[in-house]
Amino acid sequence: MTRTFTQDDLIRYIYGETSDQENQMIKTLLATDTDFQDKYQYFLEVVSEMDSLSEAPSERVIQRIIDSSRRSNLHSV
Amino acid sequence: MKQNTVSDSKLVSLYNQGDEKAFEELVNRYKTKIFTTILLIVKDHYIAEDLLQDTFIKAIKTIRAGKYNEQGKFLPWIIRIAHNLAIDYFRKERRYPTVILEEGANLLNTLNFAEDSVESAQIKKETYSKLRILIQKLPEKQREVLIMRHYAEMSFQEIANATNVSVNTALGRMRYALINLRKQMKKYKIRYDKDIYPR
Repeated sequence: MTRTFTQDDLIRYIYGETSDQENQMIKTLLATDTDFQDKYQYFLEVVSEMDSLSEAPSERVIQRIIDSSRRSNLHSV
Repeated sequence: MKQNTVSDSKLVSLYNQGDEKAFEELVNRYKTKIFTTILLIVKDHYIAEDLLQDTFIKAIKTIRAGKYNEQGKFLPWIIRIAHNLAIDYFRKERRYPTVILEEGANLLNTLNFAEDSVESAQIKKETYSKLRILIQKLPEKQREVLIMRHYAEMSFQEIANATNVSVNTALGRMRYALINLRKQMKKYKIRYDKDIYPR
């Protein structure tokens, strides 16, 4: 039985939310269907680009958070 | 694949019993995801740090009061707190996420590009800045799903639960967000190439 995969399915696939069975069918389609491949690349490119955008806060604020927790622990004793 | 040796729920439980190290582990485990999420909403580095602190303080109070709901996962729960605080900030300030390049420049100055050449570091800074601006310009519902899925790593089911919509609606919003972002990125890259290599 064949199944039609939508753009939403491709997005679920990119984010690892498809089942093993769906993965197998999608991999087969990607190897054989150029239109499907193009749609996949379309979403994959923008998702990959977004990976470059991630930033850690300063150590100063992390220390403030940890200190707040310690103070609240003392007050609750 | 590296996995966390102690689960989030175990860490929360240990913290509730007074183990401060357990809390530090939770902070270090998720600080980047939560901070990036806030930063994409409020756009100002210092405000984002204040809101990150407020987020964790709210989490501390909730856990210490025994009100943490173990049914949900820790990350989606705390991301939701962070998201709500960031949105509240805008509502109180009556501001919308319009882009002020000077603020972006301050943020970019804090990034570590030491290993890059001057030219590639500049390209990275510009790409980073543009991409952040494009995400901030997305319609609110689309931006919300995109941030929750991509940066907070919530599943579409978790996003649907957190935003009171169906999984299909969450997926549809993500699709539109990616399509809109892709269109804008394409426009930007054409202009960007002309800027770097003027004819």
